[in-house]
Amino acid sequence: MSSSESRLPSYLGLGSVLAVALCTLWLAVSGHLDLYINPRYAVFTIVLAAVAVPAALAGLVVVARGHGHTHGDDAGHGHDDAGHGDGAGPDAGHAHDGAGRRGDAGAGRRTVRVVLGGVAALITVGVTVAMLVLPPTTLSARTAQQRSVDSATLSNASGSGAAVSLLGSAAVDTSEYGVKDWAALIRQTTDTSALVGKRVRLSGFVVPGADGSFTLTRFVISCCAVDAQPVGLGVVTDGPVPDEDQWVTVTGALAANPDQSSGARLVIRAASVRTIDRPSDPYEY
Amino acid sequence: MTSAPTRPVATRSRTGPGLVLLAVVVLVGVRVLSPAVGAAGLPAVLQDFLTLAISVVVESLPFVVLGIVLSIVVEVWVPVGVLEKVLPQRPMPRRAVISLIGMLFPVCECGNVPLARGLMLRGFTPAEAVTFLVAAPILNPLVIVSTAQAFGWSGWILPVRIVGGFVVANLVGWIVAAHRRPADLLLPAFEARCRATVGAPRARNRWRESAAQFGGETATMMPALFVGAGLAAAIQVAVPRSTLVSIGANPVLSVAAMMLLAMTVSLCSNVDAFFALSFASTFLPGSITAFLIIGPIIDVKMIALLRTTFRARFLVLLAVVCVLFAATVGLVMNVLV
Repeated sequence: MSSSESRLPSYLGLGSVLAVALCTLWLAVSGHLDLYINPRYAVFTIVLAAVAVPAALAGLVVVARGHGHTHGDDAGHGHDDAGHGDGAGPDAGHAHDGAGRRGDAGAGRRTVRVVLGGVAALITVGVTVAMLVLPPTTLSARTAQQRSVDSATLSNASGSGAAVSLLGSAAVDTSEYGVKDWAALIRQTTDTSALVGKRVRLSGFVVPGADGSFTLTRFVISCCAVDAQPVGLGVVTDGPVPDEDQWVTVTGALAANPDQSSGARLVIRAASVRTIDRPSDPYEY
Repeated sequence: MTSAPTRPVATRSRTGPGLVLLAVVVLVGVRVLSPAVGAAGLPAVLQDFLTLAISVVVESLPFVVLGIVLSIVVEVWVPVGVLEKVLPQRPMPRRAVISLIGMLFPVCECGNVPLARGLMLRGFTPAEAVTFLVAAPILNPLVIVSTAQAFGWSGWILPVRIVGGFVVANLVGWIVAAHRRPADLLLPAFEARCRATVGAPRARNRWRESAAQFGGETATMMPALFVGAGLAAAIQVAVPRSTLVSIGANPVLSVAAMMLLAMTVSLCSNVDAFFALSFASTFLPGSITAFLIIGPIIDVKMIALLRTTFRARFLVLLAVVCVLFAATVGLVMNVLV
């Protein structure tokens, strides 16, 4: 193991930290950090990314001067062969005492470890490059269908707090209600008659359903995109159903669901379905 | 980006770091100059996989950085003997106090791995470090506050999560301490490093030592983080979540479903309570609590991170003990509450 090879893990670690931290800062500056995480954690994320940049640069400087720690346990999946170099002599042949301890039986396992370490390095480089080269985007309708729209009730929706009977009388301002709020409200209420005829204007993306209907869908994010929960409202329209994944603004009124077998008792009878560009804040929280 | 020179070079080398910097600058340049958002024309499966993996990395990186910084503080800056003096001498109370140290560190599970490594490099035994590792992601101020925000101070979920985290951490610590040779649970290289570091004279230039430490720890943690994020994203893309969620009402199966969900989604413990809340109306409280106990300890991202330090046999031990414990707590709660 030459000195340059033993530094590869440090380069990989510091380079990926630097790249991800800089990209995080760029996302924050350009206002797209909420494509990945809930804004609740934005400040924390930005502060630590700002800490990571100088720390990674300092790490690179130290490695460049030959003072770096080049421990062999560094390459992710179980690189337990090399020992570790202290500040004075970073590469003084400690790789050999690891191999010597185990003897011949270690050779095969060593190969496996090198391969696993290589795979880990490839994933690291691949995801880092993808993060910086590909434009950030939202999750697709495929994921929404797979996570079954509306499988979970969202207890933190504003709709769940208000008394349903008040909604019909326009005493409660519902103009700020999003897809999540309406979906929670419709699922929870038993007295749907108070809601029939209520006018709504909502934006979301299209998950196609049976003929002449689709689900107007938004993802709700509690922490980051991995936990995204799709929520949706059924839409019945006389016009053509837009393409899957297309963002639309639906204007219409709540009506009883013509499909009696469905769990949701209310749908939107659309007066108009207008296609729009994806909004800058595609997720609800 | 790791295109370091292949031929042997002098110890003092600018080429490697220069190439790394160049690669990062080029990549950031591409990011700044190319369209800010939009579709890249990839198939939906691949695009969603990347979005999910990147979101795990973006979410976890600050915690990993915080954990590494704290581990550098513990290892390089806190004077020898200060931590050790305040701890009880006898093993059991000592571990109990160590498990409560987590209350002082707002670090979730991914930041805890570097911190636990720092503790062992300082001379803590594996049993003590493991106790800290399991306890801290549950008994930390941010986690308690966010769980309280999600579920309120009343009800059983918050107290059972806190007490359960404390008990399971000390249980795991006790089992590791009873092991014939606890050091056998560590990877040989890390164990050798501990032996070399503990008792060795402190580095004179602490800033340089800190920067070197940051390089070493990121080298260990970052590939593991990316592998964990990739695994979590791949499972999310491949396994329909609806199959798990559809069994919410069965008291036994729902515990298993929520634990499986926790282990595959790999959320940070600081934020998992809000995610669990969205299942609160479909799942029984015991299942939610099992989710909240197992999630911070064992998940696919965490397994990748733990593999940097521990042998597979320890991971099996940890998984068996914690899964049995969380399942028991969940089932008892589902029956009694």
